Amino acid sequence: LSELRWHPLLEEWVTVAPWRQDRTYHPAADHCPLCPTKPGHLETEIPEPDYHIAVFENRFPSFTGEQGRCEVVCYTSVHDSSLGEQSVEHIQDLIEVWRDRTEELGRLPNVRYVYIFENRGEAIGVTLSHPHGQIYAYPFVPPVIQHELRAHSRHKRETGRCLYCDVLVGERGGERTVLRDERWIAFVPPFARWPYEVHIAPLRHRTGLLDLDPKDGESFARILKGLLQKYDRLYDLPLPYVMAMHQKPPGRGGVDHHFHVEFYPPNRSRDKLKYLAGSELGAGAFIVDARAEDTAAELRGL
Amino acid sequence: MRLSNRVVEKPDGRYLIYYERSAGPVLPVLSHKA
Repeated sequence: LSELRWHPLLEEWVTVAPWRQDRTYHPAADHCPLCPTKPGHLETEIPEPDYHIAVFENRFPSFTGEQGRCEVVCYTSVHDSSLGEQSVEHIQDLIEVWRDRTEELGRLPNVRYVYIFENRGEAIGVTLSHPHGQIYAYPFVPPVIQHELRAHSRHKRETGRCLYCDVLVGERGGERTVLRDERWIAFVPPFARWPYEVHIAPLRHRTGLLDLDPKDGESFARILKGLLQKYDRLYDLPLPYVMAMHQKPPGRGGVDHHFHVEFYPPNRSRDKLKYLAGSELGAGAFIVDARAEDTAAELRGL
Repeated sequence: MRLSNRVVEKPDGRYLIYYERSAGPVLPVLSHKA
């Protein structure tokens, strides 16, 4: 098991998992552990010769056993592909997988939060290039989510309204909108901390994946695909990003949140990255090199 | 449910879940192509 150490100054948990030092690091494409197993070749993580979508327990987990789970979600058996290249129908299937994992992992006795995310690109530190995401089922509510839940509760107490619903009211003018349909919106929030940060969110109040009906799922899949295609058109390269799903914690009737997905591409231009440095890491204060209105217009036009 | 799943135990005790398209028809609202 990992060792959880309490950071008394920041009042948050630090997870110590030294065995992760040995995790697989940039294997050759013909030794990819996330590809299906080819006849006559060494067995990969997935023994069958093909698959639609596969999920397995991470071999180098940060949380396992009674602490929680770490899962790998293989989006497709095709190695040279990406989430944005999947059909809308395939992404709808993936949403169903994310829903299923949210429900099952959320039922584990010590799990306090189910976090679905993807790291894409070497610039983000990805060590396996096969299209995949991850799920962490934490034994605590992680700090960013805690902050959001606190802000949401305070706003609800003071106004009776959902904070994120009010953020979306502020997007009615459309100047920061990247994509929109009758159910979902993709926009660069006015408070973006990365030049091309985008949030995608349901326009109606939904607390998480388990709240989505089939029409929500279809719209979510279209907006997600549309955004990722725009990202890859931005510099005509597979844009690195972190995708982070924020939903309500499991099994707590009183805790509300507004489901949304945040994307943080590290690029500030085609060949320049924004690094988290003195102000961001040491003081927690982000300095962003672009206006949300400008980057939204750029993405909208792609 | 659009998908069915099949859970397999790996030799080291970890689980692997295959999600596959269900044999039944996909609901009309979900059936059109990208």
